[in-house]
Amino acid sequence: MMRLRVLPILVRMLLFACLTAAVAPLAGCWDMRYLDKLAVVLAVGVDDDPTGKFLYQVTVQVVLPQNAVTGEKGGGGSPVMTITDTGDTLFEVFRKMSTKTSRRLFFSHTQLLAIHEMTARRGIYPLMDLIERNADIRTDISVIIARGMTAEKLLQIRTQMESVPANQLKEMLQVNEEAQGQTYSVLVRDIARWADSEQKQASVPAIGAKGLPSKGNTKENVDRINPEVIPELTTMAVFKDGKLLDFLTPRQSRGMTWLENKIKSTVIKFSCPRSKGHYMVEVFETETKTMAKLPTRGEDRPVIHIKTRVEAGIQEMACPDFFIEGEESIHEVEQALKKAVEEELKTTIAALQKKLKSDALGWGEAVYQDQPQLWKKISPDWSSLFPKTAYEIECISHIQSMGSRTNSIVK
Amino acid sequence: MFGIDGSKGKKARKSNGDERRPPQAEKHEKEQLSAYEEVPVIADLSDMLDRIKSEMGNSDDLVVRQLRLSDHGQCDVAIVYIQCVVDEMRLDEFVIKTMQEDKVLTGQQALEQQFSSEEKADQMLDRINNHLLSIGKVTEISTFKELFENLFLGSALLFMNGCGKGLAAQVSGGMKRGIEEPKTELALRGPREGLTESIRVNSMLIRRKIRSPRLWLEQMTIGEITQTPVAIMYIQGLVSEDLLKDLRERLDAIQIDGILESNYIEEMIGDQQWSPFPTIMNNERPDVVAGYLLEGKIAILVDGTPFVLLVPVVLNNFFQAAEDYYQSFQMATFLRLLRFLSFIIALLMPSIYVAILGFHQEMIPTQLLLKLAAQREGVPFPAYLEAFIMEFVFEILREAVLRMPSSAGSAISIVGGLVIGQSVVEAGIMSSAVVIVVSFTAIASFVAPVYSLGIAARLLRFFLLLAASTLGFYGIALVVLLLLLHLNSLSSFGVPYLKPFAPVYWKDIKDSLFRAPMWLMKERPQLSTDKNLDRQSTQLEPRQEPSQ
Repeated sequence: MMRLRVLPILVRMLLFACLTAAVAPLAGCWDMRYLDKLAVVLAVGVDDDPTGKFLYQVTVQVVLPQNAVTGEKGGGGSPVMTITDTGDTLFEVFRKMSTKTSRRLFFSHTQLLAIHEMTARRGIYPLMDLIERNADIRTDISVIIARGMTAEKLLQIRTQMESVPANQLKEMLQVNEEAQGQTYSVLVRDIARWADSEQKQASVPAIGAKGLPSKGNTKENVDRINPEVIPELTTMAVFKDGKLLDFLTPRQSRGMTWLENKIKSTVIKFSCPRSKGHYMVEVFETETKTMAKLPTRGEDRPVIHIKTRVEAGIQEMACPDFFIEGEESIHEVEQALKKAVEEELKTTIAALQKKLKSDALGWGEAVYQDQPQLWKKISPDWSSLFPKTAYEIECISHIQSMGSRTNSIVK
Repeated sequence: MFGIDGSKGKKARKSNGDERRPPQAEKHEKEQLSAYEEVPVIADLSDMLDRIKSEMGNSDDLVVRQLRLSDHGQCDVAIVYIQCVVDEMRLDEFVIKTMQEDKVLTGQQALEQQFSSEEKADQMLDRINNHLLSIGKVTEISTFKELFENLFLGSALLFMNGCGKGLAAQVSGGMKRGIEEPKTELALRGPREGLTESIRVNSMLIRRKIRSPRLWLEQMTIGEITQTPVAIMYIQGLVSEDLLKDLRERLDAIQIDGILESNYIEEMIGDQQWSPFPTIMNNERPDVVAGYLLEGKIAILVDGTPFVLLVPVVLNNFFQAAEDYYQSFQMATFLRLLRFLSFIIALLMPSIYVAILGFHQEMIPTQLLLKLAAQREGVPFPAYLEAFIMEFVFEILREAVLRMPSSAGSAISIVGGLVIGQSVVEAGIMSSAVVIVVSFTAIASFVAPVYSLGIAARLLRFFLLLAASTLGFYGIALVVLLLLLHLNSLSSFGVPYLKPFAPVYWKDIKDSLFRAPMWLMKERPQLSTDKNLDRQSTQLEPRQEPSQ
């Protein structure tokens, strides 16, 4: 049998050893760290430095695993702790915090960046760079605005549903996005991308607190059946050039979600057509497309075309004389739905165009994608062109179901 | 009934043409049977018996029975055998009794012709051979070498005074283990019989599966002192001639004092002797052996062990269990995948655990990280040391249970499983996560149907653990890459070890990652045979419509 000529075993082993030795130091960013020597940071809060000495006061919420995880012995204490320090940049503060910690801060599992509204008015872009640049920090951190209270206080509210407050805040964003759509989560990498492209202004959900904020940081807050204070999702905050302008109203905020095509499911309230009372329509599928068309009659501004398709069902009916069995009534509801959605979108657009003058809808992006030649021409003046840009809304609505019964029992 | 026949098919071992181990002529010492090759049987009976006794150091289990059959002293016969190696009942009944009752031998009746005394002795021996011994197999012996070979294989030797030769009557008997259920590769459905220590019983069991004249058997003895019968079995026409020639050469090259188990041969004829991966299959199920023979492989039977060797094999074979073919192909496919997965788990799980805890904490979901972190709280050892210690403890437990008397086994498992497993966590010395990982790894490693592959995983696990604890996932990737390179470099009797995956042979994929239905497996795997690939000639496919 043919056998390949093989090197002597000693030579082969020597070769093997050399190659192994050569390959081992190739590990670029290897860095062993023991899990029990890490302080897992779940949320970072940024406020203005109250003393005015530095630019920022940063708070990190560190999870204490032995307390946070149920089923382990020990514990009983707070599931998280916060550490607060001041500095001019995030990285400066993070390293400064090592004067207060026995473990190294570990940012790979950070989920939330809370920014106080006053700090956000000064600009949020400086806060994004470290998160984008550092390989250890994820860029899918949700950004929120702490509204009506400092980010420090927000991160110090003890919550009941999730023992780790950062989880509560993060989950709140998700649940609301799926059930009502008043806000949608915005990640650090989204903001960074928008800032880079200059085709879209940032918008960030805001979270406030309901109740007495001072009671948040007490054990009583989680021992009570009705907590003294509970974090509450409010509306989207709109930015321009990285600086917070204002908050939208709840209706505008949902319109914003709608225009961003991020509504997964929501409900709309209608008055009964011929009597007192209300009925509810649940939107369970909707799709919104924003397209840019070439300007008509030699104008310099594009026309934005918004196309929405809404699939919905009647879920609550408290109208005595509204019989929804017939096709007529369904058609009536469909028309009402179409009108309501169009109204909501128009209000939102009006607020952004006329009041805030910020292209948080990303119309610039639509123009860039659909009419790149035009965008090249108008992009320098886009911020002044946006408020005057014409748009048209096309809404198609379908009622697909009426729930398990037809006419209401309300007589 | 299944006596051992040492002389048939005996291979001359003078022409060892293998360059690996040149024959050493000077090694013909007294202990080796070949030293007796030239020593003839002595004609004088008492001298002969004295010589045998002295050669065997007057061993007490050697029985020498002298019979003076006729009163005139012209017919002295001696019977020599080793106690319990022969079936003494048959010896009494069919050898001694018939001789004692024969009228010619006892001198009551004269021979028809007159002979000289020497010729007469020959004549008498012929008469015994042809007329008297009602024994299936009788051979003439003329040298001491043949004498001893037959003696130890269970023959009774018969010598007659004045005759320069003797007779070996095959009356082998003695105690043998019965055919029992195999201990290693259990199957819920399928034959329950396992191979035994006797090479003849084993070849019988295989022949009972393949009733074909094309099933050929070649026997030889290996082991200068032990003279162990070794046989190769194959189906002529399916097996490749090159492979047979190669195997014969390798077996002929073995020069060793003794063969006690088939692993002796496995290690001496294997291709890559430094590899932890087995390149020769071992099995103790006759149905599995028969299955491989039908695929054109060669079985090597070694007397004294139920484990039959099979060549050539590829890695894929070690994931095939007998039961795969005895149950529905869907289930078999599922189990195949499960086995591959289990092997990967058995190999990688502890190292992945260590790598994640030591280097890549960002890789796992936050909730899981917090759970692990909470368990690690207060554990005095770093994760990698923890894993090393627990793996080591498990290996000790495993070895202890394997070697303990079975009555103490349950005590060990209680102490090992409950006391160590539980209290070590409760005392906070180890985290429960590492106990879970180690136990799961252990269970996964038992899924391998062939034990020798499990051993490879067992050893490599520590190697991977070392890589993971110094370099993290990068280290694991390096070692896995190395393993792949290594596996790719392996071959078993000329067949690439990773076939049919690398080199890809699409037709054989049908019986690798999954097991195709029987009616689709129309060809034999091309792994070991290159001719006569047709397994089914008909186009049998499932009926589309129910027959009326």
